[in-house]
Amino acid sequence: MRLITRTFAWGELGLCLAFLAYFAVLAVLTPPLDPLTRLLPQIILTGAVAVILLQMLSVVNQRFHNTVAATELAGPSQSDEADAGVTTPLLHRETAAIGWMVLYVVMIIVLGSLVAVALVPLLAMRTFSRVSWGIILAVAAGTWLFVYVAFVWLIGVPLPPGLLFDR
Amino acid sequence: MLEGMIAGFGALFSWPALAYALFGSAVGLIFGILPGLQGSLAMAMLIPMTFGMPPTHAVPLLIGAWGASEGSATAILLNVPGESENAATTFDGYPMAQQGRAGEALSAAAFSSMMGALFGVAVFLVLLPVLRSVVLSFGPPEFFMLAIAGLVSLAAISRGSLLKGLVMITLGMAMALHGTNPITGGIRYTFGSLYLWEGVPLLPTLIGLFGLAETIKLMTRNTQIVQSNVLIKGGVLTGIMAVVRNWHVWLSGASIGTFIGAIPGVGGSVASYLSYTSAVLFTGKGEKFGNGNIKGVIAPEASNNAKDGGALIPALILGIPGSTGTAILLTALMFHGIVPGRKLVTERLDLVWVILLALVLANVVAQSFVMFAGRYLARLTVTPSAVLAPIIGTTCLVGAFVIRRDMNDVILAVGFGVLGYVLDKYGYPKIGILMALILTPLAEQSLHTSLQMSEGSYAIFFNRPPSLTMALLMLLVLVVPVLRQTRARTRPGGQAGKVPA
Repeated sequence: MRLITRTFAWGELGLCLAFLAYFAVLAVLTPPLDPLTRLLPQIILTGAVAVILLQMLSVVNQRFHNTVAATELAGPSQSDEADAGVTTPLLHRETAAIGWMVLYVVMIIVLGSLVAVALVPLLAMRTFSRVSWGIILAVAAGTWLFVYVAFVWLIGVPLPPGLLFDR
Repeated sequence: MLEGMIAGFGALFSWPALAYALFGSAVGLIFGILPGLQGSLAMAMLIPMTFGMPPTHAVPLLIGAWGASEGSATAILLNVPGESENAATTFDGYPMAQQGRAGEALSAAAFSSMMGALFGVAVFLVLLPVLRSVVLSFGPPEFFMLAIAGLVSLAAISRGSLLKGLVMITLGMAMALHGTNPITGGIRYTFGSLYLWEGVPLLPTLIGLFGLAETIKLMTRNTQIVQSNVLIKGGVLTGIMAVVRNWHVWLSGASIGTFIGAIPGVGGSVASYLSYTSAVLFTGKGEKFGNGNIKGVIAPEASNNAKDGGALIPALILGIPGSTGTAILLTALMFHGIVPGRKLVTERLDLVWVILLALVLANVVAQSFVMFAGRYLARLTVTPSAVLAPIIGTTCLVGAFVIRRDMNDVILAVGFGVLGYVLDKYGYPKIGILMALILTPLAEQSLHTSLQMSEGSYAIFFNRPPSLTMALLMLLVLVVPVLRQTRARTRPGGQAGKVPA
């Protein structure tokens, strides 16, 4: 058994609250139709609200007892971090990873897919790893070539050209 | 029958039909591996190529693409299912890769798939005379029960807690409500956005929840899939022998896949998940799943490919497409002047044999490739994650765009990627969202139609033998895990038979 920190419990509670808000909005927005047509949506949303409230109670109950068995997550654990020699706090790394993904989408929109596909992997590898420039350039070039051959040449999909290059 | 078989063999194993079959298989294999692309999409793209071809050339090309579509490799190596029906393979396949047993997992998946496809085709041939009445006996009440059974089984064996499983299922069901009301045709829960008129799209959701969530994990972890002190072990023979030793798990999976595949509109995702559930529930006591149990790979992969043979049953006999792939196949057949139904299976038995043999050939080609390239593909698991993550992320993001050529799909995939990462962090089984998205429209439509048929009486779900049988099976699925958990709690050793988050 591992202890889950207070931070984890608040995060899960926040997640449950977000779900509850989502279900509540849908419940309010259910269009007025005949009883038969709105039967399943009503069942789903009522059940969803009930289930999420129970889960929130469960989370609060576990936090107070402070003896939660950790699930075997594929994500990093404290022991994984120790093995990897990683010292940057997990939250910083998560924020950076998500930030890079959002940046990727922004760059696709602005610069176009073919430029972003070459540029973003290159910058991400440079930021997140200590591999040599040779490997970085080879992987970035290989990824670009793969995307071009598989999606543009073979399948013939017109990838977005980007706002800067769109005419 | 014999004449049709000989004619079919002669038609397929001749030039250029064989070349078309192999080319279609190669295309299907690539499509299956790439997230966001599927064998049915490969078929749709290849249809224009068949203009001007005789049916005996067009059919092997299209069936090759459909049958060879193979998404288990990325599901096992990278925890990114190539298609939605490979999601169940990630539960035990990816842990096996993390333990350095990727080669064994790949070869077991490939061999199980190949034999599953053969099983599906064999069942089709054996049951051809009697299948018509069985398929026609399934009506709206049975479809509703099947959808609910799929969701109930998911909740019953969810790891972590039943509540977390239910949260995910209800979340998925709520998401499935967005878009067009399947009953009235009206629009609901779109918040004024045109994008949501067709509902929450399935493939970008799949790519985000599994592919991009995994990318985020790899970027935060900054190690590699297999830790450096774990040896890469297991090869082709290990995986094949594992399937042979667990022949009963394979047979169960293949049977479920063939049966589910024969039911129009249900799909391969349900088949693979029910097959996995069956393996979890009815395996030997004390066995754990979700930690690299080879049975958790054999079962869903057997059903994945067995369902193709099953899907041909309603498609060729009744002209009812059981899946996207068979719908495209029927379109292509009709374009070439071939009408599915009684006439096809009586007067053009040679073409039916071409279809069946092409399906077998495509599976043999694709699975042989995965089996023998497995130990090379397993090298991916020791590639540094900071190198692997950008490649996976790029392929997923481009794949999300390619589906409908809509940037909003990419943004949605990223959103689901973040959600998927958070769900994994807190142990919520995100497969529930996917299954609910697939099954809720079927459940809603079937419920409404059933109640109209019965003038509002719920007895219709219990006074029809197929529907009642499924209700009883659902009860069994609910009761068995509770009994097992109760027995496990009275003994030291923890829980058995749970699905990973």
